[in-house]
Amino acid sequence: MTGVLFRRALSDMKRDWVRQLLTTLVVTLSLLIISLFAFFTHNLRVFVDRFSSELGLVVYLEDGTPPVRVPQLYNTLSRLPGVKSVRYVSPEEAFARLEKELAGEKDVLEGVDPLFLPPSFELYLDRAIFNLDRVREVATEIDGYENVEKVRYGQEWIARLNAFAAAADIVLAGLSVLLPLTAAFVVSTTIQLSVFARKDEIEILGLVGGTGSFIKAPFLVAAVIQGAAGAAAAITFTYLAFLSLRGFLSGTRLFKDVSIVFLPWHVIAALSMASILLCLLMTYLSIQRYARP
Amino acid sequence: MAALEKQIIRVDGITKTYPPDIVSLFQVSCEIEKGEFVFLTGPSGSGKTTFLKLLFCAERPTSGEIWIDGIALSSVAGAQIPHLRRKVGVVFQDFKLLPTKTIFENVAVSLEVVGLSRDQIEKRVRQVLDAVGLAGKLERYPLQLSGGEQQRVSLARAVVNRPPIILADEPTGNLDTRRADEVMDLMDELNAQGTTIVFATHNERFYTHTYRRVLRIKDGRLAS
Repeated sequence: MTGVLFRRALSDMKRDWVRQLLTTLVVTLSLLIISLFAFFTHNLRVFVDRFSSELGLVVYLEDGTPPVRVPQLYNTLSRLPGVKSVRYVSPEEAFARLEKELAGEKDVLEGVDPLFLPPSFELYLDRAIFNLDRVREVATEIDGYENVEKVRYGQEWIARLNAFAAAADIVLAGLSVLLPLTAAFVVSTTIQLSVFARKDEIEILGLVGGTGSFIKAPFLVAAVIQGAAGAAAAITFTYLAFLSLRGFLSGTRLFKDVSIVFLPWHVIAALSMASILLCLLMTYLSIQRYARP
Repeated sequence: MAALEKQIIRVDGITKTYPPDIVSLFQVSCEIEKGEFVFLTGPSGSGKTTFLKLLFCAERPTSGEIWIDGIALSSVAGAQIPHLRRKVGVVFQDFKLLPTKTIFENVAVSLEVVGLSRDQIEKRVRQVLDAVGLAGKLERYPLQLSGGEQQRVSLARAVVNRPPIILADEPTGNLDTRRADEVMDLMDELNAQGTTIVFATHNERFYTHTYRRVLRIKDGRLAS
């Protein structure tokens, strides 16, 4: 029975291949918009997460801070709420970093005492406390500790990132509703037109004694194929966009440390299922209109 | 009791109205016996098509009852209608063929719905298309045939699953005299084999000198 059903569905699709292809193309384009949007937002989130976790506080210690005080401060800082990790940077390590950063111009450091830079702690913060007020509170608290010279943090960056993240959240929330609705509308209209074009066939099948399932089944099989093919094509195009974007960005200085990631599997699975279910539902509702006994 | 067994169609006081208050049929009653050939006549818009539609459940009467082969149609649920329709072959004036399917496929569809095997379908469709004189045109498409040939395909589709009743709604309305006579001859053959036929037409030539029963509908009422 299933074999007969698939044969009928494939035979119908073959016979009506232009309309079927156009419908699949519309599904592909609609889903491509969604998958590119999902790709963009996913990478934006990854970027913001990474950037915010890399932004932290640098706690400079006073000259002559007794060595015994370093582990005490380390423990105190580690226990602060919202602090993910603490790293001690000795004057030697700070000097080595500076040399590395200066690269070809490190001659300027010739004759400079390798211990001239102050020791410091680098604090990495949880994403959960990532807002300017909370970071300022932590900084003010640390500033009052004994042997702490000063606390520095990317105040401007945090403010900008906060503003950007807030604006992006609003835009993304709006688009996350609008884009799928638009895509669903376009797909459903196309499917309705496609089914409408075959309404005589549906009527005749009913007149010769075709049951509801006999009439609907090939349409529904075709809908599953269209939904799956549209999703596969859209995700393939998105993957190609990902590959070319990654290749392009890796060659630029500005984005040399920015890694682009592809959509996670659960998003791909959700997009595919949504595409299939949308095609199935719209086809079912459209046939229902014409297949009444 | 014997009389009831002979009746294959029984119509009892049916009325069909459409909104707002258009009366298409009013208090129509009649009985048609098994193997009978009945002409249904009347001017355009008199209710012939509505009457036929009620017989194959394309419409439901507003009141009254219809029995087909002993089954009261008011008791037939939506899901059972397809099974009832397999007992009733319908031939339409506009043929209602699928232009994208071949002649063979158009006829085969009546057998696919009942779940016959490919071999059985192949055999029966070839037989019936041979009987209507279209054996050499199995792979043609409807639009490659003449009007008369298309009506013969429509007739082949209606009879291929051997229904006991054929309802023909102006099947010769779009055909010239010669083609109309060909269709009429095929109907005669089917009737001679025992099929009950209800033939709606306003072509007087067919029923003026016939010994067959003529049901006349005028303004939604049965006149004789």
